[in-house]
Amino acid sequence: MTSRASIATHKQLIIGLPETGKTTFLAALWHVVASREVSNSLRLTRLDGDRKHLNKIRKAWLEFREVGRTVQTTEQLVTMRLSVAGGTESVELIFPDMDGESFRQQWVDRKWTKEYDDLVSEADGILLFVHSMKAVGPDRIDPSIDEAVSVLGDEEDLAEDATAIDYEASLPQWNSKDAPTQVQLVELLQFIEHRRHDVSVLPIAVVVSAWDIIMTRYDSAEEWLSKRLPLLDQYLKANIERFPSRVYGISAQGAPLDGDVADLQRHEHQSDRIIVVGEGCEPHDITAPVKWVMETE
Amino acid sequence: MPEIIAHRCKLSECTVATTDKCIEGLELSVCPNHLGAEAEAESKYIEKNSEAESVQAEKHDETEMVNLPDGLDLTPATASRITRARLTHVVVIAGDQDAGKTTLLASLYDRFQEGSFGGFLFAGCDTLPGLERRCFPSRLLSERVHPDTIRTPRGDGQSLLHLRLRKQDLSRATQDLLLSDISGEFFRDACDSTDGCQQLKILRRADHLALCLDGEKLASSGLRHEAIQTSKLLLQSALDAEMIGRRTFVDVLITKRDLLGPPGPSTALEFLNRLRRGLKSEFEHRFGRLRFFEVAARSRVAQFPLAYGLERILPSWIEDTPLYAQPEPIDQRSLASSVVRTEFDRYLLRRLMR
Repeated sequence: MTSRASIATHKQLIIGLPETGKTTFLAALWHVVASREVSNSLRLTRLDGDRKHLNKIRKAWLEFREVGRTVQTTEQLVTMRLSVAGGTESVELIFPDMDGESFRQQWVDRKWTKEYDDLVSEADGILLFVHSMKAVGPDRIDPSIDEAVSVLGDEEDLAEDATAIDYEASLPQWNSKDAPTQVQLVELLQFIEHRRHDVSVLPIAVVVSAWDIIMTRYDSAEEWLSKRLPLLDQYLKANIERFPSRVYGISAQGAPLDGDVADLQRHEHQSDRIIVVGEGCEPHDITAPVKWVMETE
Repeated sequence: MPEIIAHRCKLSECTVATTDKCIEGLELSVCPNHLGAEAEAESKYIEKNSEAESVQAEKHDETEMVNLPDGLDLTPATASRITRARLTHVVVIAGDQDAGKTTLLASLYDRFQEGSFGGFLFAGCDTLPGLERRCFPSRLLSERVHPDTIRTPRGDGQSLLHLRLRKQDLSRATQDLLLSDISGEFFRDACDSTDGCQQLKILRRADHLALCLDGEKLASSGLRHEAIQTSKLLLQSALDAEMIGRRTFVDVLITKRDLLGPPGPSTALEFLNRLRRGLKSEFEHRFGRLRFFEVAARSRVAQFPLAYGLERILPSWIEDTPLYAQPEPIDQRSLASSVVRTEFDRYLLRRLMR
């Protein structure tokens, strides 16, 4: 048996604003590696340490319940000892399961904890989560809307619009927490770049969660990223030497849980309800982004 | 947290939250509208009345935090951390009040939120909050009826905003740009006196001077003459004060192009052509380069897209610098382009090329 001292350790940061599917991903990942239901996926080689959090979220996932948001008081450092299918070498994978609100606070408050700073320094890669339906864009007051209104509106509306005045005192002030999703995510990556003192590459797997909802509208997850979060997409392309990246569309639940889940329940292997799209990955292999980050240096 | 509360102001237009500066140009400690003093007093009151243990825990939490870059507007002094680290091009956006300087800057940044622009990718930014604040009045979240730009107050001083861009084909490394956001009042002062002009120290460092001429005023026969004379006076004043010259590339930007009417013969456009010819004959030989562009940074008409006209100017702001445009032998120029990486290299080259 391989001694503990000889096992390689690989740390991957999990980053994402609130409700982007980070914990649900971990629950499904834990099921896939433990059940070995997906060929060629990473698999668990040995149970080790405290697994209470992972078992709890996996239970919710297997019962077709919302896995639930991680709150700041229950941040968890998740450890899994895994190997590739057919491989003999184990890798200890460490993920911090952090509350999405704490990432938003990093952008707003411009500081993070010493513990997280240490994780950033030691990280070997990043899993960056975005929700396919919850990205806030830089929605502008567009003149084309004015023109559409002028075609559709009645004379009274148009006269009202033309004379409308913005009274400064009654208008809301800029609040940094309302900044577009892509701006906040770029800044989080810039913070990481700022705090890391080495020049090594840091691969980033972008996970577009709830992929089942939009999968018919986009040919690929890359296309979704370039259309919905173009600033982040450009940032990753322009910094490819430092942050090589790959984009995955993943539905860890397989379908919305607020509808009829009978189809999900019919799967003999629950791993089969997971949807994964991305370059070079198999349909249900939720470990694909983790593997790619591990293999990219 | 006290340091966040301390940066608030009773005045809605005050930008102290992102600039650390009072809109009136006052010290924060004496500004009557600054909420820092009240917030501080309040937090002290709460602190006194809370249990010693929780105060201790709070202090402990504070010591465990790591501060990250604040993202605030840069000053010429604080921008030096960028210029020292990488070769940086400085673009001073000049012009009278309401000429559209801040809108130009905000729209350029906002355009990258839609995708690549002018053949360049967004590669980073050290002043994201500063730029977001400037874009906010044009966003739906601002609840305004019409898109707007908040006037840059004199109290903001001479701010610089940062963009890092990279050629879309990745054939070159990233390039840093610093773009100024300076109140029109400073440029009025520069027209009025040599001292006022010399206050604009950033002009000496400018690779590019983008002089904004208000298209809305040019369209009006009653307002255009004063607008043009003010712009000419600014150029003359900066030249005479030796703040700009052969080492400066000057772009005259006719802003708010959408308000000048459609292309084709018109009194306003004919006037514009005469203006171009006049400025060329008067100033072209005194600058490293003089060009003219029509822009509509944030048009009120849908046919002009966001940042209209800027796609033709941006590449030259990123790729050109007057440092390489001097009539030097070709071997020195190629040497310069191959070795210059930092501000110190730039300084050294200037000395060597004299």
